[in-house]
Amino acid sequence: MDARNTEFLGLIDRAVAAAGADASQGPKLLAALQSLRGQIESGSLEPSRGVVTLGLARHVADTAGSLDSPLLQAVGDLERFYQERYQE
Amino acid sequence: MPSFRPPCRRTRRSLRSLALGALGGALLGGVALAQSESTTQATPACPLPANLAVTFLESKCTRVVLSQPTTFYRYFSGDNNRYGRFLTTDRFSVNTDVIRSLALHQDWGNKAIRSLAVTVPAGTAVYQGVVAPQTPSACYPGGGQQTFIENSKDPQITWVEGPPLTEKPFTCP
Repeated sequence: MDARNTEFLGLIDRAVAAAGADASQGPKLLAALQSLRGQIESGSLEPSRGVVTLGLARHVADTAGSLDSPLLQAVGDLERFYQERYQE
Repeated sequence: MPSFRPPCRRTRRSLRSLALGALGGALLGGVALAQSESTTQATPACPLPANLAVTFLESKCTRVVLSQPTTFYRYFSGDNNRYGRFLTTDRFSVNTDVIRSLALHQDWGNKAIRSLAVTVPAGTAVYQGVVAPQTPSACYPGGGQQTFIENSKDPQITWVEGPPLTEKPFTCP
């Protein structure tokens, strides 16, 4: 696995930990993060081309109790990594 | 009971122009949200933290302070997605159009078969732009109008259910 994917998976681990500690989130977010992990590991994740998003930040921001939560920070980091480092 | 009509007479095209072209307005807008790390700082293209700006196409949005009570729309299918911070000025009659235009990934469970007229009070800051595509982008291209409000629990906001949408099966290859 290349360095890019290793870093991406590390960010997913952070998001999983933050999701587990956030009572406002249900199992769907964890399932989405696990699905994302599987797509990275299998090489099937669509390139972002700099514009596509993962939908994680919007899901969390839509219903999160706080917009300053560690979870929103973690999924935001994932979104930015995907847009900036997964363009092709 | 608020009328179930778009109060804003801007067309979708003009809203997109506003969102994509009003850099001056964005620069004038204040950043109302806390910023805990450098990675969450607002960019000139959208006066929201990057974690939120990313939900808009090309992370571009415009801050608008409502000069009068304004009605937006939200599409949902159950209690777990009835309320939230993301609204739209776009009106739809078929659920699959909502799902594609607003990029409602079906893994989250929102089938967009019901609608709400959401009236936001004057003086509220909203952030407007275009919905970003979500992976898989062939299924969720986005492109609809997106309005973000910071506090969806403001007791002055009214949420009035409107007519149900025509339900068609959504397929994603």
